[in-house]
Amino acid sequence: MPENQTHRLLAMDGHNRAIVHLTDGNILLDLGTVGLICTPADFTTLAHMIVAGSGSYATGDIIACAGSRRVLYAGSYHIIILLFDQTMLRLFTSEIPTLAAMCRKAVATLGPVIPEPPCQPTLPISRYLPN
Amino acid sequence: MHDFERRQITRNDPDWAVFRLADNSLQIDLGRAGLILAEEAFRVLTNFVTMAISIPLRATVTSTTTPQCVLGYSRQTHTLTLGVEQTILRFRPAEFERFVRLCQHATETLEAATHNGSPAHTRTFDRN
Repeated sequence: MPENQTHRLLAMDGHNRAIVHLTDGNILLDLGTVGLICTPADFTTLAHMIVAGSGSYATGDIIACAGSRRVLYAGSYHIIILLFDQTMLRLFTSEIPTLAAMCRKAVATLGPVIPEPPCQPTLPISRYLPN
Repeated sequence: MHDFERRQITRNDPDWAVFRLADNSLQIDLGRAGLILAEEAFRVLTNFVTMAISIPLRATVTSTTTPQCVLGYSRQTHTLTLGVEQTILRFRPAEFERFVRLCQHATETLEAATHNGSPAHTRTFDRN
């Protein structure tokens, strides 16, 4: 992306959350107090994982997985745990539908996607639960 | 061989802590978000934030280390934005000071454990 362009807003929800196409070509998932920067291809993977998090699941389930990147569900806390490389995000399940809608909109704006193949790992959820 | 999933290294808030994970990485846990780093990367981050907090708020500080760290300040929102590779964390100034102390205390605990030749024990300290 040429440097004279400004970043492009792909989606927002009016609550300090936004998905932004940065001038360096990367995508910023901005959740206010925390954010995640990734390539468009990685963002597509991330978006699919978040969208998968809006489905139904049982405690301890790995809802979605792409390599080392995972979405887990901790039912007793009503949270979704998103592991994306070095970043861990905990999202309330009530936040997921809005975030998933933002992701869908952003992905549609970005164009076609090539999701990574699913995997069936075992991962202890206990290490990622709230303190 | 580790027989634990997560061992607390230090804590300075009900929600803020540093853990040692079973794969030997360190988890900086800030409640809604967390960072999982190798120990060396954690030390680099601690050195960076310790240096950065001594610089006036209006400056943006960038490291040339791995992981790459950036700290910027927004006058408009009065928030500090810390970037560690792909992760963005935003703090109010007082929160950032607490974050720095958390990292420093964890590093001290890890160093003490290294000198003692034993795993780091759980330590808790006041947020102030």
